[in-house]
Amino acid sequence: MATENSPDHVAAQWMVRIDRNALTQQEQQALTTWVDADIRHKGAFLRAQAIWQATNKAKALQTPYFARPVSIPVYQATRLPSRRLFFGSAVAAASFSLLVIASKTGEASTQYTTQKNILHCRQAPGRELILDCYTQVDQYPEFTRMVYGRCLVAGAQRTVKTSRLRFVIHGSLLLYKDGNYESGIVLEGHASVKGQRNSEYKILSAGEQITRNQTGQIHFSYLDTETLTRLSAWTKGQVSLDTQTISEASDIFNRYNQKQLVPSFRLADYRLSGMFDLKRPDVFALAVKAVLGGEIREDGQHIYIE
Amino acid sequence: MLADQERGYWLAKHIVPNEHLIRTWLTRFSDIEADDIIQEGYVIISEADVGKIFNPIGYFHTICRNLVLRHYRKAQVVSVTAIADILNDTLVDQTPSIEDTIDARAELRFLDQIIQELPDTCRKVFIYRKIKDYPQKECARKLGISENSVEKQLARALTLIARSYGQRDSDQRKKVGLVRGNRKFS
Repeated sequence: MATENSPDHVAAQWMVRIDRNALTQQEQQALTTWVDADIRHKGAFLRAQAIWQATNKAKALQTPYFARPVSIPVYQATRLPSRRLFFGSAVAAASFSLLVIASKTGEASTQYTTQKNILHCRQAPGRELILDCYTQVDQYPEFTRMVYGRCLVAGAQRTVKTSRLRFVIHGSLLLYKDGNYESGIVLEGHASVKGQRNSEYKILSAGEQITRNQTGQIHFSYLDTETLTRLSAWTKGQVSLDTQTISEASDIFNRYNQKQLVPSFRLADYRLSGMFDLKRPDVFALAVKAVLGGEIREDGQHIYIE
Repeated sequence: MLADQERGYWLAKHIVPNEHLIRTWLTRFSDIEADDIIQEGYVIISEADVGKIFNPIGYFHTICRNLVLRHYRKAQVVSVTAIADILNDTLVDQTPSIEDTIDARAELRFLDQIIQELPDTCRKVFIYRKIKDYPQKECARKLGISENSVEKQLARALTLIARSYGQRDSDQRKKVGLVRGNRKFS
């Protein structure tokens, strides 16, 4: 970014020179000439001024009361999981239900089930539960159990279980579970996950994922910020496409909407990137039209992109 | 000279700590030089009426998005992906919200961390000048080096800190890479 001759470095030199003492007339002229030579020079100088100001906050570090942050190790692993695992299964239906039942142990539990919609449950300040479509989660006083589907759980010192994985989270965790596969991805903060014995556990930090398949094999992997944003886009009612084909993108929209997208044979294998509103397949169709050309035709149940 | 002190404070408070959000967004355009967009963005936002800006980093993002769009309008060849990413009118708003921005305490932690990572002499000079608040001349006397060295080291520190602000997320990703290694499941 900033080499010896880069605008950022030259701007930093000027900034520090000004800090030393007043510029001579000749220096002032040289600075003006440099700044006026290129808009990027002007921008770099403004930025250097702003960063010089921002570092004034460092004075606060002198106080003995400043607590240094506790560093939580974050790890990187070897394998990136397929995003499609998250988008792979469920189909659409139309509502969610909320049931309150008693568990076998006699403890009261709340069962959250969604069909077509995304359900946001703000359980308490700092505690959150978001269910994707076709998901069931049971909430007990002491822990949250993921039954199937996909959900986001947030909180501090909160216990979350799937069939075979048990987490204690301080932050937020994205969970996925179907008949063959379970996974947890730490989106923020960290989570401890239990191993096969009670004494075994690992701390996962933001970006780390654990997956467990049907045969009990466990894999750890690390996802970059962009992938995390993409995987959690649904929690904000968005779909983040990363070169999916238009037919794949249509499948995703069709899970959440009554009105079904139908791309033509010509357009179905084109690829598109971008962030779209999950509940607006019509806007997605317009984007396809704008980028790739073609026509949009609608009837009561379908949007045809041709 | 170019911006009054108040404007500098405003940029330091609202844009610098969150600039990395925009740089992260810019990484998706492989044929665009992020530095160029950011620098031009600073010029444009410094000329705006900042008193009326409710979401500063969101406003800065909009400026940068328009600069990217302008770049592609001038370009001979434009990828479908790039256009799909910046179609203002058809895509959902990706502007960072105020909730996404860095709070003051996190900002101080970050600053502490990057100061600790400066090269030795560079860090000492920076601490004497910016934390202990000695003038450059006094820094030189206390450290037993020339004033020119102080100026040079301070410029180096400022450049490195500027880079850290720009690469905030990617630095974190880089650091985490080496640790996972052979840790056993135990």
